[in-house]
Amino acid sequence: MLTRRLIGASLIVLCSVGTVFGLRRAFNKPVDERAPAFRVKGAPAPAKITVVEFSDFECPACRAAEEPIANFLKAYPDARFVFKNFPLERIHPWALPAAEVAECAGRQGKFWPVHDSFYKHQPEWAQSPTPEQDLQKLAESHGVDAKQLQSCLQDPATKAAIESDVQEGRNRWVYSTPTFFVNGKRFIGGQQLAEMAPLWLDKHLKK
Amino acid sequence: MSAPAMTKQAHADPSAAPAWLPWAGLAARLVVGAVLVVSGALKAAGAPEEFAIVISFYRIVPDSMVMSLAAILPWIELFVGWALILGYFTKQAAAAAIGLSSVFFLALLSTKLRGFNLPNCGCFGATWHVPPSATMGLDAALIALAAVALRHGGRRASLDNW
Repeated sequence: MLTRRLIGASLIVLCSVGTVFGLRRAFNKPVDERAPAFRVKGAPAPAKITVVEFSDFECPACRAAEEPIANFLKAYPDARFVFKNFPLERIHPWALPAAEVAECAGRQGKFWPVHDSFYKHQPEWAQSPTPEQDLQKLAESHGVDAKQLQSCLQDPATKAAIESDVQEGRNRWVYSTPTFFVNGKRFIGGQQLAEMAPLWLDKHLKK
Repeated sequence: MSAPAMTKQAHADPSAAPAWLPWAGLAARLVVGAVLVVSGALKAAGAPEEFAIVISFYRIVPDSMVMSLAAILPWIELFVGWALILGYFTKQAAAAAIGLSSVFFLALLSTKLRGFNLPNCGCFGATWHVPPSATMGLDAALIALAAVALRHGGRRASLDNW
């Protein structure tokens, strides 16, 4: 009787461990790394290291994270960096318009200069009485065509692309910005990216 | 009720139950077991920190317990799920499944009542994103099926009969 019980219990433990290892290979994908090509920089896919950032153009912590991101990408030149929009609309009313302008700039091949400029000048446009005009002027100062920009801003696909990022972030329980997924592992804020991600990554890559 | 009638009812032959009931019990056992195995394995396959974030969103468990719960709960689901599938301590496993599903149902209900807007239930790890209201329906169905398994699940294809 005892032997049978022990065999039964062992079978359950074996099945449980087997299921976890089986599913770990098949289903446990890291965060979705797909994004429009203009929002991706660094090494081409499939890269050894992939960093996905969920960010908000009006968030001061995201602005502060720009330096740690640059340092990280310098330290890991074989990394692929994917930018995803996660505008926190409740606290940052101009984050969504900023994301839309940046998305449209991306369609004209100007995403990264506009992205950098939005963060650099964030204190100015975020406090301005006319932030939307300021954002568009900043984009135009990087060579974004005003007419194409206006038509892109009216395009429902622009909003849909941002909404898709937001939905993905919510599905991954992103609750603050910036949130980074380095090879699927979550790091919240620039400080964690700078201090903890390299330690984790070096250990992870050795395995 | 007369005494002879009571005696007759008390000593009713279990084999007189409809022949399909043990099969229904087996089916209920397999369905509940499979759902628990999948939900437990998808969470256990990911990093416990990820499930800990989900648990902390429910704001039910003290912060000091969140990480331990995130590490243990998926394995409890797995063990109970496999015990149901294999029919090992079937009644106890079915009772545990009722307990787990009730706790999940009440946790989701409490978030609704407190006005939390959860993006999904978080019960299938990073793979499936089931809306909280759909999960409450699933939990209710699991409770009903586990009750069937508790009553009739141990008679067919069960390690208990081995």
